[in-house]
Amino acid sequence: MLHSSLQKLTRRSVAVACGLLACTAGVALALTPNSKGSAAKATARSPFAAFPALNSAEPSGLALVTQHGNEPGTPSAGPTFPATPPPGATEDWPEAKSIRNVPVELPTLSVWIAKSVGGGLCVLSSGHAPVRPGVYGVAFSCAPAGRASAGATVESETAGSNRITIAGVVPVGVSAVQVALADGSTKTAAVSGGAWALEAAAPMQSVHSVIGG
Amino acid sequence: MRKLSALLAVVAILCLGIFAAAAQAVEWAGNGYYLVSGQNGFLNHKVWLYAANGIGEGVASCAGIREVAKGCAGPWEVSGYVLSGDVWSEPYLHNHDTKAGTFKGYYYS
Repeated sequence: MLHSSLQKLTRRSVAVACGLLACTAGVALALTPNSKGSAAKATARSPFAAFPALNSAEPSGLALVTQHGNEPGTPSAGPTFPATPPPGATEDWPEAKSIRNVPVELPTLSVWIAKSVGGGLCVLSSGHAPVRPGVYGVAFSCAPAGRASAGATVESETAGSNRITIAGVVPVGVSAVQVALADGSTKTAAVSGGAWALEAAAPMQSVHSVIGG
Repeated sequence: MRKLSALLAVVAILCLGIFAAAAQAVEWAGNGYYLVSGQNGFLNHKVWLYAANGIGEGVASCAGIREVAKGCAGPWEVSGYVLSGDVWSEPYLHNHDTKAGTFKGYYYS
């Protein structure tokens, strides 16, 4: 008798729970927009949409090498970058196939934009002079995926030089950047093609984007 | 003969291990590696390397190759420097921020 009552009670509880679940699912379905709309929104939200240079078909001008770390003393003609991330590299490492050249007004520097392996945004820069006889260098900085929409900035300094180069990539709509330096001064760089660069005598402290003309 | 084969196998495995280790990223700074504002942190011995990178955990960082060059980035951004060939030097990190913080550093050879 008691056993039968308990069974009835359990069945009723299960039925009530199922009913509630069905109602919740129905309401959720009614409130969810159709899948086409969701896909369109996801595409529009891509952080890379604001960096059209990433879609360029132009050659990057940065030589990709499968075997990095040349024999010591073997000179190279210019900067190189690993065609695949070194084993064990952090996920915020520039994805070689996405590297694209971006023009800057500083004639002594080449600058590139790239996606990072982990979905972030990177900027790479290389001075046109070797850092050691026959050895060229590429500095890079990668912003994580969550901050990629704001762009990326890299500062580089060669040992023994008192000049610092600062370069960055910014989203569409930014016309200039104001760079505050550690010596208290501020420099302004015009943005062209989504990138900028400048030389400074002091390290960078902060960068502020100027929107519009 | 069997002993010689075993010895050769051990040597081959060791060689493969050394080769694999050489091709991997080496995390040389981590676990709360702490630098005050403006401080440099070095590996403290020379190695053959062609790249170094690092991240400041909430602080601006530079990762570089001593007496060669460095690249710098903002807080939680990865900074790095890649050379076109190996050099005999050491990787280092620099606290590029106005406050102290912890860092991770890697080098590649």
